[in-house]
Amino acid sequence: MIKKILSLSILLIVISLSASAEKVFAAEIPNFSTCANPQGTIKVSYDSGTHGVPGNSNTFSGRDTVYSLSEDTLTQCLCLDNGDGIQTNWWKVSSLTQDQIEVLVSQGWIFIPSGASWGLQDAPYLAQNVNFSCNSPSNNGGGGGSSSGGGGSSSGGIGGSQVLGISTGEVLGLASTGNIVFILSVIISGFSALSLGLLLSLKKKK
Amino acid sequence: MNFLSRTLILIGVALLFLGGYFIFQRYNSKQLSFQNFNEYASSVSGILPQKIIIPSLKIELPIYPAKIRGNSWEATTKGVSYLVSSPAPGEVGNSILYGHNWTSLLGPLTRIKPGDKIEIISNNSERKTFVVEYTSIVDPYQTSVLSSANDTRLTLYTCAGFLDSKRFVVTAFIKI
Repeated sequence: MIKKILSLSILLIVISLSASAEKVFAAEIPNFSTCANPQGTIKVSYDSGTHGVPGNSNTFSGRDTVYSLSEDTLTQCLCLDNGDGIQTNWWKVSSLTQDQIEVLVSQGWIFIPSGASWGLQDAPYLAQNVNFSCNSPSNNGGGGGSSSGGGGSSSGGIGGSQVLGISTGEVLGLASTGNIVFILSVIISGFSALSLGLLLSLKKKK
Repeated sequence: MNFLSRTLILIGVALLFLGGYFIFQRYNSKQLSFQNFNEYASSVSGILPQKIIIPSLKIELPIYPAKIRGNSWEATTKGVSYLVSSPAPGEVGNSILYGHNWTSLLGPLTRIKPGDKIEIISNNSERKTFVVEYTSIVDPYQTSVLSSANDTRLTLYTCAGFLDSKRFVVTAFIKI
């Protein structure tokens, strides 16, 4: 018994130490607005064209607008012709240490050694992709509300293996509390398992 | 047999606790809140939205006015809540409406698509039509979706994700 408690304590200490070690390297992630209500100023905007997405080798066709949020942060809103949207959060990380960058990369950020090839400054960036849905340019011929701006078309530039983030429609119903039938099923299953367990236990005692 | 009965008792207790937590969370007043949201100046037009209709989802629900009290967002269990500190739907700015993700309320909202229409009927019998421009899933700290805007938009959201940890947000613009 004492051995078990001792090993459990050691395990807990190791876990808490590793967690605090990660905190030492953790950098504060800046706030990025969403493409549904982008903040900042428009840096560049194209109503149509072919665009790239960091971490994805494919090219995408659609409407693209880049917002400058601060000196070090930008948000790229790409609305594809099929109605899929990809928001890319760009973060200039010249001031971060290699360890901090590695922690962020392990959290899903994509490291871009130089932003120059993406129409940004010649400095290291981290990029993060988040999916959303939008009214495709082919549906309405342009953006709605204040989020659209500029015009023209582009090929390449800001804005290539996996698109990160949560796709609309995924994981939405997973253990959410909206479905009372699901909640009642959990409670009834729990009650059944508990009753069966107690019955078996009583039978054994007899 | 001893192992089986103990396992069943353990699973049963765990499921009962989980079910209890789901029930607590379902009625938790903080469930629909956004963190550190700064309210902006409200409309004083006196116009209040009274009904929301989403034809594509067969949703037709009454709207009730709601306020933020501390970190707690008032939320009706009978329909959709309208944040009274936001402009009335149809006025310039970002009108904010939200509701529980219950099947009888905004549960089906996650099936809405850009291009779908949302109709709002106000207490002056005016009917405003909005067209969905964006749908997105955000974290409760991403309050920029609720920020004021220079256009005439409607932001409608409900809870989504694991243990309601996300917000499914619909952004619609007025149809001119």
